[in-house]
Amino acid sequence: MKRLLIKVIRDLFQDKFRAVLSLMAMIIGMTSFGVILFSYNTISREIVNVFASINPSSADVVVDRIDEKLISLTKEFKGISDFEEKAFYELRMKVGENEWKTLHLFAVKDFEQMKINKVSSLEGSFRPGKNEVLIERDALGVGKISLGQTISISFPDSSLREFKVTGIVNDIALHPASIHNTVYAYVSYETLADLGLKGNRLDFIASGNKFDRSNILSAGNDYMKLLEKNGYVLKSFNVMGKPGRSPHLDEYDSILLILQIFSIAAFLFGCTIISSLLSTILSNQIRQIGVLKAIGGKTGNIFTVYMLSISVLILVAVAISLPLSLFASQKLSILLMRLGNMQLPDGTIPGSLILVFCVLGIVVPVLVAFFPIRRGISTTVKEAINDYGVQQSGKISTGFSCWSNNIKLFSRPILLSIRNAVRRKGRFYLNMATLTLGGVLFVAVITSMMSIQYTVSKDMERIKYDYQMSINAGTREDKIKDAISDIPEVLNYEIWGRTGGKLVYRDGQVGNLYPIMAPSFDTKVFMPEVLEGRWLQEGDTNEIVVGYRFLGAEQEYKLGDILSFKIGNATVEFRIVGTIKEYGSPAIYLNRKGYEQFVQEDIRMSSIKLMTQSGNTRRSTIYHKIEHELAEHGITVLQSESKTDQYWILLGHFMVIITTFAIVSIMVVIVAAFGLTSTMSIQVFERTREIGIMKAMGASPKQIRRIVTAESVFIAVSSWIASIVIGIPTGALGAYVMGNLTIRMPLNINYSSFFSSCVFWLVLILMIGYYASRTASKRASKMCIKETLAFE
Amino acid sequence: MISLKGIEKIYKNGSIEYPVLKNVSLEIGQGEFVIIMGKSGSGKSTLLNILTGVDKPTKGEVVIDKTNIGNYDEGKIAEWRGGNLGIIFQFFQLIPTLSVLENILLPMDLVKKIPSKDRMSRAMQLLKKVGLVDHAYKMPSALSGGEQQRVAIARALANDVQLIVADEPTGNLDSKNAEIIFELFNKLKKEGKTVIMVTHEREMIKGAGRKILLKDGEIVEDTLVEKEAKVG
Repeated sequence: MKRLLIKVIRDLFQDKFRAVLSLMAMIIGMTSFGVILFSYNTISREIVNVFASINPSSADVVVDRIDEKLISLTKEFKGISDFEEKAFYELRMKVGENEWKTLHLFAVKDFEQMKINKVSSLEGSFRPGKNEVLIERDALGVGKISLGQTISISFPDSSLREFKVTGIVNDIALHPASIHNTVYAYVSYETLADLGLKGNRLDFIASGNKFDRSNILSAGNDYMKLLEKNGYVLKSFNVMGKPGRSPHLDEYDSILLILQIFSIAAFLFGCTIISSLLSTILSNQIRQIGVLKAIGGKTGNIFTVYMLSISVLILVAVAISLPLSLFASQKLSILLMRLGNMQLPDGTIPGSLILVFCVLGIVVPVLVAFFPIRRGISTTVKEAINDYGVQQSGKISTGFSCWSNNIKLFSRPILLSIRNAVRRKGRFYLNMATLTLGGVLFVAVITSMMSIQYTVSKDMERIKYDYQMSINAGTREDKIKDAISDIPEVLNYEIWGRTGGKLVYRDGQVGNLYPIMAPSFDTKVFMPEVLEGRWLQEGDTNEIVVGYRFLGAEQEYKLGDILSFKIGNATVEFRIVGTIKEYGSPAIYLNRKGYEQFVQEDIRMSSIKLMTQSGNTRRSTIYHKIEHELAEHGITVLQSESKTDQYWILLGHFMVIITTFAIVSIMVVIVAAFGLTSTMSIQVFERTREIGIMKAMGASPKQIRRIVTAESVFIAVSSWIASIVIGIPTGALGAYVMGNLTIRMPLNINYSSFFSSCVFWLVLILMIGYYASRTASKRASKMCIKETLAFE
Repeated sequence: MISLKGIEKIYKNGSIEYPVLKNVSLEIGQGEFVIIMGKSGSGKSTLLNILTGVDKPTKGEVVIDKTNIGNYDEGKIAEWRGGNLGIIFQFFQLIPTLSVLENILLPMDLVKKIPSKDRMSRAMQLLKKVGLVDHAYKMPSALSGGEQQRVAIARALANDVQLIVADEPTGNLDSKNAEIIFELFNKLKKEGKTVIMVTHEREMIKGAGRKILLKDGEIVEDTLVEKEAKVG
């Protein structure tokens, strides 16, 4: 047995290049599987743990003031088990000569002792002094800020104050700053007082089931009634769509799905390689197996030895893949968590999962190896001894022969390549399956990725204005018109009304605050895509149109329903007459007539939508000029946003998934490249003698290279055709699934992007095919006839 | 036609040298049918390898049709081989994925000596010559050993070569088929082709014109079979 084992191990490693390549391909397949398996586990676990570690609030309430009495009332209120006082103000930060970014200013009493929605320190100080701010890590890029820098913040009274950045923090209770194109800054209460501002927000945890939405709504409503009874003015009450759940979790759902699909594909790939390798080795060992049997070797012994040897190879692959998978999955998890602005505190992979990897990594390939080994070993002595030279097995079908014979386009050597490619049907199907799977994944991934961009771009086309500004309540519209009308670069503008309304549920409970936008029914700067019902009409007063995400968040309402909003002190009933497509926070659209009828003047804000002509002048200069004119007329701009900012904010929501798509696409290409390279190497090895015959017949090294390359390219192109056929429904399904996971509705499939991704895959697969066969074809062309044929 | 001058072939294994051919000189004329014989290890395979350009001599010169093939690189020698000589193997070595007809067409496609329009008719003619026209569209696996070897002969003749080198072409055939193959070689000789064959079968010597016997890397006998006269 010992000598038999030595022989078999030597056989496996006889061709070092082939053995190393096969081992590498196995390692790549197993590592891809491991990386995805471990990352999936880490991300799905840590995203929950990390969010739980900040002690997320059940809801938050913004009031006009927080004083001793309010604190005392809150402490005594039974519906709230814990709370923390904070401050929140929406301001602007100067980021360039004429550029501004929205800045959310938070004030915390004691950063180190935070109880709810805890912020963690990453760098620098965690105790901002007077006129010092801490900046959320993800906001550094948004505001082009660095530690130690001084930033300028504009306040509602038009004053501009400077603050030194002394620390960087991480706040995962908020959506990533980069996605919302907003700067998050944190100051102490001392600085807040210095600014003449006060605490105005309470993060609280409801008693009982702290993350049950109806429990939170009930407690929150009782609490608000209590505050109102005691003379406090409620500005907003905000309950997350899914309390206690990370706002990123929905985005990660789609990523985890992609990772799952890819891990299965990678695993199948690893098995394909092992099966190919073994069937090749065994097909070249037929004669030797016969000899072993002729000299007394028992089938059982020979089988055991082959299984043992291949198990060693698989064990080596698993042993190398495991640490690689652990390392790479850690890096991938950090990257993907970072895209959601989260740290990875614990990247530990549970032992049970490592065991699953090892068991699957060993057992499945061994099972895969079982069949080719059994087939090879079952060769009789007579068959083995009659096995001379060129393989007679693996005949191609007459049908295929006739079909390929009719392709006049190809020369006979190329036809030979094509037939060689399909000669071993089992292997051909395996290769095709692997490459097709890669192609389908690639096409689906790229189509989905590009459809996201296409959907966003397409929807942005409905916005005709290029700049919008929010103006404080109480500013007369004619005053705004006076300021803007004479600016030549302003081609057109509209002034929309804007306010906030708290949804009042059917049982009388008050829910979240929603922005109410009041454009003219015949607005020229916004062309909404109506999904259901209709857009606003001239005579509408109590009719509203809602963004489809509103109905997603408030599922008890549908088109045609009557709902109530508390606007200021009044509660008004509206009927939903239409839903439109929109991203971001759900908004309510009300006709100007209704706005003027139901919204008190003191809470009417304005949103100016501007269409400007840039020409040679930079848009930012024009915007600055407009703001300057408004300031000259005594009008303060609270917020401003360009269409470009909006585009990037929208796209930012998909950045995590787009990045994952990109990573998966690259991995698909690597896996496919290795698969084809090892396959070609195996194919060439298998036909060593045949190549020798062709050389003896006068085939030049160049012709041999061409034949091998053509074979590889044929496999690649065949898989490409299959990828397209399967890719059409898969791409559509991908766009449908991804759309539902990300924007809760199917994406607009960009057919040109589908075809582009098909062409891109064709180019890639041809390159892979060409380069994959390069080494193999070089080896084939350099083969010495004497060695391949051996005249005796 | 073929001139081998002072051929030596030495294989090295580490510091140990194994001389396989020792100062072999040989002249073979156009249209000769030469049989090379010798025991295993006598150097006949090495001599055949050198004759076909598969291997290069350590010393000496191989001139075929005034061409010193020793100076050719791998690409050039392949081109030369395809256009000037046909090789027939003991185990036929047909390409299993090509039909009988395609096996004959392949060398023509590779070498491009025969114009494309003439290749099909030539392949059919060659099949007719070896008596296998009816089998043209069959795959090699559907043919008997003797039939496969006849296809291999047709394939060797595909590019209208003048020199045929056969390595124990009847070694794997029964006597009836072996006889058919020898008949074919005799026909080729009559057509003016030069045939060099390695064989162990003594009864086949009669058909040949000349017998060369190798022993320990040296030509120990070079006989004209018909006249039983020594050459050179």
